[in-house]
Amino acid sequence: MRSSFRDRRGGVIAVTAVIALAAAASLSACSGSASADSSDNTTLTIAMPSPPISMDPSKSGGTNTTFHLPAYGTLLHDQTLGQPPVPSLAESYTWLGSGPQVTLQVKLRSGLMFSDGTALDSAAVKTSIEHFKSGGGSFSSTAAVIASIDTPDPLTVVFNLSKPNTNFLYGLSDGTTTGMGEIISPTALAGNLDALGTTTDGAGPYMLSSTGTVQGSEYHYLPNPHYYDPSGIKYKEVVIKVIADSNTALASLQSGQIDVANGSTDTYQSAQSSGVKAEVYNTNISGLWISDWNGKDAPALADPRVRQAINMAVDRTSIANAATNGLGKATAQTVPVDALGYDASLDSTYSYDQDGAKKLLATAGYANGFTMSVALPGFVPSAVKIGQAIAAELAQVGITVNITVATTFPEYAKDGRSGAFSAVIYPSPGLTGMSNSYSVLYSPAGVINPQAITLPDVDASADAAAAASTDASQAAWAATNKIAVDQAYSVPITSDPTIIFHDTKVNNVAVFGIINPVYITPAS
Amino acid sequence: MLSRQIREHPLLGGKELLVILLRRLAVSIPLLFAVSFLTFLLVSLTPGDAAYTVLGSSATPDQLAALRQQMGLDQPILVQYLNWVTSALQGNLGHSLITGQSVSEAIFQRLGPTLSLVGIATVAIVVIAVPLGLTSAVRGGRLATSIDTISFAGVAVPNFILALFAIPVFAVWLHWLPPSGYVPLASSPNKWALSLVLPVATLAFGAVGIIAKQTRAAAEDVMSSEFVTVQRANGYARQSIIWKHVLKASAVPIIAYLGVVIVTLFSATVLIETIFAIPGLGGLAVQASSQGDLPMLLGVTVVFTLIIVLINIVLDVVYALVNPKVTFR
Repeated sequence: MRSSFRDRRGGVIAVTAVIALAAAASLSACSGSASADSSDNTTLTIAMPSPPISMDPSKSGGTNTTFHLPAYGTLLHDQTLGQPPVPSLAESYTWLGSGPQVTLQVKLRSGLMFSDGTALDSAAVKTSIEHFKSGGGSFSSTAAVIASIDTPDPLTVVFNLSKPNTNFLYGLSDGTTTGMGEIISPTALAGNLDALGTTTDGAGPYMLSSTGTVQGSEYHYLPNPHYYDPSGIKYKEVVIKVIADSNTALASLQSGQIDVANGSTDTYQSAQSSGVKAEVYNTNISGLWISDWNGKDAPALADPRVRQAINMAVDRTSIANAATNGLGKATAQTVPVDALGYDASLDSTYSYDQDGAKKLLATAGYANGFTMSVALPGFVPSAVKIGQAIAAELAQVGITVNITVATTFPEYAKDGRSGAFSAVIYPSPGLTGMSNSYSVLYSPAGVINPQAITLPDVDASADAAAAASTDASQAAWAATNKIAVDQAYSVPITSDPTIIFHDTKVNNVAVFGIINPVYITPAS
Repeated sequence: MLSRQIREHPLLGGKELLVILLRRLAVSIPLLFAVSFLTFLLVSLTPGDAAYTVLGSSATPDQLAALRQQMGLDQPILVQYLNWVTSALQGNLGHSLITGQSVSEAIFQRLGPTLSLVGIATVAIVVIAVPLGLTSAVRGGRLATSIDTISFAGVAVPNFILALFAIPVFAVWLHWLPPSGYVPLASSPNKWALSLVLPVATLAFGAVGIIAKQTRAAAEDVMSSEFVTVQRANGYARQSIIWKHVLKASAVPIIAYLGVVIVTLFSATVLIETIFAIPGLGGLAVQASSQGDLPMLLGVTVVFTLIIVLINIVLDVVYALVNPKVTFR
């Protein structure tokens, strides 16, 4: 029946294909190169893997501070790991008095203005930082150490701290990403605060434009006409695109669509082989972050010998290679190389020795092992890899690890704060120096110390280190680091590389792995 | 042409069409309530909420309680839902709990990319698959086998695998097409079209095989029926028989499948928009869901439901046009 219809050669498929290709080709011809709208020397285009929680710096932070920095800048700027920051919107800063560092005087540049035309003076700094402190953002606790702020004249701000705090200085800077040093206009703070979630009003070189911006997906910044240093504005437009897929981000860079992107260990090799510039920042540490030092969930963890046995039972080198594709460095301390308090000798404290671990467990009365519970974020691939590897290693010495995987950040945050887990696994919880490690992991107010347990030995050492002079700070924090490692309060595994890809058109792409558009400049 | 068909249609002519449309819309109202309530319930039962998203892991119980009160999350679930419904019925879908952005504004910004993606993919599927299926029904042989293979591959190969192949080839190697992003139609029609080629191709690939296969099966059935034999015996032109009569008689099952395919295309946009970094509703749904942003997620869900309802109504009307035997009861 059908055969009689087959006598004619109807190349419908060919015709359709030809039409489609012709249409695509003509479109390509009309618009020139597919990447013609991308990075020329007047537009800087950056890809980030996720959007900011909010455009309000007091409500957001972490690596997503990249979205705030173009519009707000920071009072201080981090240049060298392990060294104090340098001034940025501030002209200078100094610790007052000869005793412990509790009074910080910051001198502002003259002529600073917010994008709405309001002057950035000492009163504006005070208003912004008090908003940050009371704003309830995830980093607001970093401002808790501020007892009061004085404004003796329009260009001078004096921070009076309740006690010495090494991190405070870094909190005003761009490498630790708390957002405290990003000053918001008092005009905006006196208006509708909700508007700050989707707009900007800072004194940085750029300002968020509503044209082209799609919240959560694409952010367009135009020059701030009131920026104090017009010559510091290097681009006519800065665009930050959210590209969640690391392969797409790399392809966008390779095709010339973007200039800078947060890379991943998975795409590092292909980026390298295709000529893309790749920078690796090992400025964070991943590991098993124990918080059950009193043994509420797993009584065994109250015994330092048990925690030391866990440190001996894990093959850091293998886990580091597997979790970071060989880009991370196995480590037994929570401090990255060259960061404040780093001590190279501590890395050899626990060699991989499962027989020794078993003996130590037996000595502590746990020859048959024990069970501990661990929470980890399932949405962070390297955390899953590290968690599975640690569980497998500890099973070899008789320790059963029950892992609870959270699928979203709110779920993970709830698990982490519940205090129901012996430990959590989370890559890069901001461990950019021992002072950070202390405040995140060991301080009673630490994010990863939900039971608010006091560790007297670490606390005393950290207090002494915070009070030390700038010159003595490194040695003092190294001493705190040694106590934490010797007591095995945590199980550091590997440095967690932050990878930045970029093309040859840009310089100065990142500060400690944080992409900061304020300092990115055209290469030519 | 279409309006004349509607006017002269025994069922769709005059006021009856309006009655049918209103009845369909009325039926969809309980559906909207059911979908929005289930979404509300499921998100509310998920551990963690928007307060944790904003405050992070360092949140103290006092901070959490204060923020929940501010967000209205401290009220019973039913009260929260009724509050949302009351304001939604007044045309206010609320604001994001995270950024404070108006939900309507966010949806409006992202509707264009998603509708462009699904709309063009649907057109591409029809334009490619229907002629392909008809031709293979007429010619059979290798073409029919090829369509079976494409159909099988389309179902078996996930969209993202296709994207992993297409992006390096067409964007990185050949430099023909952009690998990511979306350009609004109003900004540049050319760039808009270019930005959609790869995502649409990835989205439509599997469906082309499925619809082509269904078209072939339906057309083969029709071609073996008596009226086609009679037409051929009476010397009707071959092209006329195939493109006018066979196609029309095969249209009902094709439209039925197309309806299902369009709905699945909307689901697939969630992944496609993520891979190609397109600012659409799918990406917004994923983001809102992962942040516990209830008003935003509810807004997107309601809009998705409305779109699906409208598509079904349109397909019902098209059904009736091609097959007068269809009744709306």
